[in-house]
Amino acid sequence: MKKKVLVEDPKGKFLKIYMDFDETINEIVITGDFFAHPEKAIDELQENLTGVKAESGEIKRILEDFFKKKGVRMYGISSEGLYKGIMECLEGEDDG
Amino acid sequence: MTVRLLLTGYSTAARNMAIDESVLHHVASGDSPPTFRLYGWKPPAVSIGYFQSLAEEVDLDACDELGVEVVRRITGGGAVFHDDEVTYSAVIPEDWGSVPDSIPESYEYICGGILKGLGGLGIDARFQGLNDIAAGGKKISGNAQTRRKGMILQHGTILISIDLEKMFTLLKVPSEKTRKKLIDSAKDRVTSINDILTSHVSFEDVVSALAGGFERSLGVEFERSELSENELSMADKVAGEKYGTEDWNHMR
Repeated sequence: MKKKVLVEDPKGKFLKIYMDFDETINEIVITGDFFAHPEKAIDELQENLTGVKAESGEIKRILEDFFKKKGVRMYGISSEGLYKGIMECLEGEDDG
Repeated sequence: MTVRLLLTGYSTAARNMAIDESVLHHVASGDSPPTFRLYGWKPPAVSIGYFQSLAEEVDLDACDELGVEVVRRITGGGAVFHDDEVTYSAVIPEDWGSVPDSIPESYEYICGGILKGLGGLGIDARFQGLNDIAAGGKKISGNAQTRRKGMILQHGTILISIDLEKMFTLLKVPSEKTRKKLIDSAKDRVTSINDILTSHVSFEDVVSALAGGFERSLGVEFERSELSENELSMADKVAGEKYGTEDWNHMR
């Protein structure tokens, strides 16, 4: 199932998330006008989420671990905003 | 301390972003000194933030029709319509002089030069975190930063004038109805040098005001220079092989 959502992150920016998933997440693309240093951290997070079981506990754990990592600095994007967006994808109707 | 100043005039979108990347590369390798650059965009262009989706944010047909280029930046942040403005880029080592390590504080540190530059034109402006500058409570400058290879690359724009109708024709909006609303609300939130000053200022006026502003704010002396041969050849290469390609611009 393919899904695209727009959520407002509590850190103030809008996140647009695209997901392709069934029991597991096949693909996720995180887009928006936020800042991440280093930028490739977002690619790494997308990789960390790919292949993961599409259920809330595991996703929440990966997001929280990721945002605790040393050396990654994010502005306008948070684990809460991403969690909200990903759960909206999982719970929504198919966009085709 | 002497810092290199590049005045590269107007360039295409791909070339502008390629020059910034080439300068970053050559300052990092020690081949070029810390550098400030002031420039413009011809033809006008929309740049999008590194993490944005080009197709989602920009009306590519409208850009085509109006002769507006598009390019993805290596910095995060939002979509920007570059037309009647001066753009700057600063490439300095992360441990250079008294530049703060903290990203929010380093934005403010570099933006201090813009405040001084606008002040020199008679505009009272303030830094507005994380990365904006406002005059009379309205945004007049947006800035974006990346840190790579031990360097800070910060670039940003200072609006000379702004055509909000055109801007919201080029940027995608949810519907025609919201387009009008967005334009109206932007009129309350965005301003430009020409909206504030009664006498006309040119691109060159703003360039020299900003150069003086950065010098005073950072306590440096600029030395006018040109891109090196190596910087030019890398810029040519990166403009063609990266910033001018669908692969890069449609990456997300």
